[in-house]
Amino acid sequence: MIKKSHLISEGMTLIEVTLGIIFLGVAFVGTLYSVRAIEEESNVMVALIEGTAFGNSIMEVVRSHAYDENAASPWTNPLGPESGESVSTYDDVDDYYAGYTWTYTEYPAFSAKTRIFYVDPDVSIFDSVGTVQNYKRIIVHIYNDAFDEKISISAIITP
Amino acid sequence: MMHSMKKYQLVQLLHLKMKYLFYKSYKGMSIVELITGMSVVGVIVSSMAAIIATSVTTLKTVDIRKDLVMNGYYASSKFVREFREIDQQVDVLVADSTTVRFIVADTLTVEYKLINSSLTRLIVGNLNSSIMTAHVDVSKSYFNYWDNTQTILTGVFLPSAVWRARLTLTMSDYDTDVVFAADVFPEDFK
Repeated sequence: MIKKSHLISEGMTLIEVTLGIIFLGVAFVGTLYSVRAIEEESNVMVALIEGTAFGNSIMEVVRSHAYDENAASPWTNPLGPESGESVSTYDDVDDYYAGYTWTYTEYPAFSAKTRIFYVDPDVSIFDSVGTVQNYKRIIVHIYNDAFDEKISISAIITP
Repeated sequence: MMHSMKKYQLVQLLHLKMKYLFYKSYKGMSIVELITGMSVVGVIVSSMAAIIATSVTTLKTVDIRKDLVMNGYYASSKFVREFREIDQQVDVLVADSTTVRFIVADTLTVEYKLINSSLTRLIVGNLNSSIMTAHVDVSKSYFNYWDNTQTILTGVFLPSAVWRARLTLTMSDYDTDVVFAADVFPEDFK
């Protein structure tokens, strides 16, 4: 049988107490870092989904415009809004060319830019050919501080 | 003699100091030590508890937000996919801020409605609506419409004037709000 006096007679030394506190501190900080990492990962995932929804919306808005200012070929070149046009009177997809900036009040943490250019599928569906074609590529770049890099959605449309 | 005494006292003093560092105490703690120790531990534990509580609350908020975003994205995507399948503008039958009814691909008449904290979907002819997502703040959620000149339609207008639609969905749960805006344009309108 263990004597009672043996149980209560020995306290902890200062070094034991100090080491204990240091170990607890390190474990606590490690736990906090883990929790923070989980939070950040979740935030990035949520931002990706919201960003995708935002980008899809922009793509739909752009696609709801006419292929070109002209109703039939030859199509306009260079691309861009015609003189006197403002965003409220943009009537064809390429009016949103060359980095037009989008913001939605519903997505305050996000911004987006669109690029529209002619592509020739026989040459490349990715790169601008600089000449008039029956294909236009729409790219929506979405920006948010949660991403390390922008996310992009793209589509190719025809007249 | 003096020199040896001083040396002896010094060793004793050092021994006493080292005792606190390396040897167990046999004396127990005084009431002052106990109160001081408990106070220090109390301060440390309460600050740790506050940090842990904040972390747990943040994790919970992040989790709620994630659920709202996933559910909102699913519901708005379903609406977008179906609305995009409309063949012609006359197939938009009802278009107001809380309800949109349309014929999908000439086969199915579908109605989306913002009602009772939900976005519901009814296949016209069926008895019951399905709930696409709950936790919807109906007072801050609505449908908007644009005509083919990209002008927003307000007031009284013909549903067949609708060219593009937007569903703005504000979802709320445990003081966490998420807002979705989903634009959709049926390609066959062109």
